[in-house]
Amino acid sequence: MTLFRDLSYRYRVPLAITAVIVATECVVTITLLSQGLADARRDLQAGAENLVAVLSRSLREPMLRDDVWQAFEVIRTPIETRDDDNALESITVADSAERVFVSTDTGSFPMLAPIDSLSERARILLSPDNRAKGFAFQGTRWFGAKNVVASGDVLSDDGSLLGRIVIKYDGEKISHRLQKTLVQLFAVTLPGLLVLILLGWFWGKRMVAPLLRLAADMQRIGKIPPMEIACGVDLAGKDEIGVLSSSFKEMLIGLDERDRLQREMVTAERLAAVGRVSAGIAHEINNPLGGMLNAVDTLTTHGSPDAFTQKTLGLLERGLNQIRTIVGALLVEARLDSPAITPEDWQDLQMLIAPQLQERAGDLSWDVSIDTSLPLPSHLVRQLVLNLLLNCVKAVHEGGHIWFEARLEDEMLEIAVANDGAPISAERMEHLFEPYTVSPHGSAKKSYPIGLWVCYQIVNALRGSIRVVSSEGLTRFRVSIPLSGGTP
Amino acid sequence: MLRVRNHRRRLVLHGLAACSMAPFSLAIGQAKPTLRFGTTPVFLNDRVETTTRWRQYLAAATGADVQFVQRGSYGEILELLMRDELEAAWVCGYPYVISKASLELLATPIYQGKPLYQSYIIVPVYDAATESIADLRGRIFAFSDPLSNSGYLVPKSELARLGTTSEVFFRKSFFTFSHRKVVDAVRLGVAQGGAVDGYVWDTLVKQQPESTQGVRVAWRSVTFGFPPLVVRRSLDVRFAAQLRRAFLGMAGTPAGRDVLARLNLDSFGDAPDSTFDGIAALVRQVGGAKT
Repeated sequence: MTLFRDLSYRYRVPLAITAVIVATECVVTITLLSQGLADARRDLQAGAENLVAVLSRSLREPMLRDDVWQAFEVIRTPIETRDDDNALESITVADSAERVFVSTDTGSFPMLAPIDSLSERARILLSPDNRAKGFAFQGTRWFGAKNVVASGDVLSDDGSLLGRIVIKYDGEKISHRLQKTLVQLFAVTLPGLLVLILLGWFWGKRMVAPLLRLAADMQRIGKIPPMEIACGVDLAGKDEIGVLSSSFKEMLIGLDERDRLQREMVTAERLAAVGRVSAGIAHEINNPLGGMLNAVDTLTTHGSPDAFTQKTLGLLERGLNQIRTIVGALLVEARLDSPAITPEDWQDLQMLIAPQLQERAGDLSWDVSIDTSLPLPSHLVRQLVLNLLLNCVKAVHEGGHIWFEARLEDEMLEIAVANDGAPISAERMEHLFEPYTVSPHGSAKKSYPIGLWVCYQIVNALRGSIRVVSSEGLTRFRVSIPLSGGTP
Repeated sequence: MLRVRNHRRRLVLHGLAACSMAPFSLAIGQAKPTLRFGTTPVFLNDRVETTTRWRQYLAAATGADVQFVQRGSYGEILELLMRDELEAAWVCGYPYVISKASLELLATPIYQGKPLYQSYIIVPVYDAATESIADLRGRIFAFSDPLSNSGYLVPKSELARLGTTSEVFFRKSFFTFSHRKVVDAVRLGVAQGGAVDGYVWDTLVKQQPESTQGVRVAWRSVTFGFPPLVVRRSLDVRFAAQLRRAFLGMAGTPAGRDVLARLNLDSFGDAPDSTFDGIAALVRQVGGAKT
């Protein structure tokens, strides 16, 4: 039983179908057979009773006249006219004096022989003690019987007993005939049974196949990405397996979504931490920096530096300004008081990037469908777009292509920048928006400055979102910024 | 007495032969006489094809409306003859001999060149010891017909010679009313011995050997006059003469020869009445007969 419980449905369902088919076939065969047996028995009995009735009437006159030959003529006719299948074996007439009057089997039942002098078997058949009137099966076996005997009395008109007819049937022949019927029955049903079993097996396997696929897919969870498994899930049908498959697919999609959200959350948290650190550092640096710049300025304006000091002060001021620029770049301030972005700003951006791209003999598709001013700070949006475009220019090969698109959709500014350069590697993607990251680039290591970090900061400041999709042949950044993002 | 009658018959027949045939034919043709011909199991009268062809031959040869009549026993045929309900019949020598007052000999079959046949005692093959009826004491015996010479009279006279009767000698005896059925009775074990017409037996052996399997001839009698064709004495002599010619002429026509071959006979001949003296002697020996 345990074995069956552990057995795969791959075998269990076909086996169950086969078992049902075989059981049905057995029941049908047994029913047909028992019906056939009952019919054969009934026919035999009816025939025998009929024969006894006819013979007892026909034998009345010959027995009254003691006309042995006439009696023999009466009983020989059924024997001589029987066909090969007829199990009729012998007809014997005993007289009222318990002697054989006449028989078609003169060997076993010699004429005039007293019943007591007959052989054991013959005596049992004719014995008055065994006077089974009518029809009797003796030595009944599963198919047929050893001896089948029908008997009846020959009575005169006034009802007095003249003798007795005993008809013996060949039990072997009856059994043989029934066995033949059985063999024929099996010969007819067996090919059908085989076809049914094959069909059942095939059908069962077909039925179980989706279940097996589902089970295999479930076992792959955790080993390969959920979406990869989800692609192979077959949603055909609305049956239970169809419902199961559909739920399974939904679960896989949910798993994938959860994984993605988790990854995004990690990235966002890391970027936020980086932002906090850099903002802190920038503030800490900005204060002494402001003092130092003031001191240099004061010294330059109000002091009387000699030429050497003058040169040194200039050097100091340039260096400090560079630090301020760098710190300023790290610290993207959402200065929202900037003027709103106008259609002219987009044109400026196109003009600004064109020469850069020309250097690389690249091609630009520019698609801006915005013809009004938007309530977003222009300097931030310009910086964002410019950074993204410059990033693209850097990425494209010689003669590459850059696509730019900006449009309004549902109160959102949708910007898409794409290029057909080399895709972003997975390692780089992990830390894409982080400032000053270094990641392997081919054999060498490559350092990335803060361009994308700035973009990220700007989008964050404007409460928008930025996404990147990179595959072979196309790397695309999508930025969505709510028009309300510019409002403090 | 027998001889006298025979002589007279011959005179009549010779006289008829001297006359022209044409007027008779014409006269008969006008009346279209009926020939009711009784057959008994002295031959295999249950062969419909043979009797049909014979009937066609006789109808063509005599111009009469020929009907073949069969009954269950010799006695019934004899009775029909006596009552003028038959014109002619093929009976056994025994009833002919005892009914000569009303029957006239028409023709006698010629079998193996002679108008003679024998009676056989037959027994099952497994009974190798029996050589005569004397060896069958206490057995069950099948006679053919109480009016049969070969099937009853001969064995009865044999028993009489032994100083006994069938009732005493045999455990049981019965009549099958047919020679052929006597063979069946012995073959199927109903009887352990039987008396049959030698001609019928030989014909069965020749034409239907399977029906004689398991049976052998244990004893053969002396020869007796072959069962004759007879007419009732009241029959028109001219018609009787024409009938006689038809039978005697059978061997001369293809159709007649075909029937004779089927009957396993050479021809029908004009045997003298004395041919049946042997049977008459048996009748006298056993003391009359039940007719």
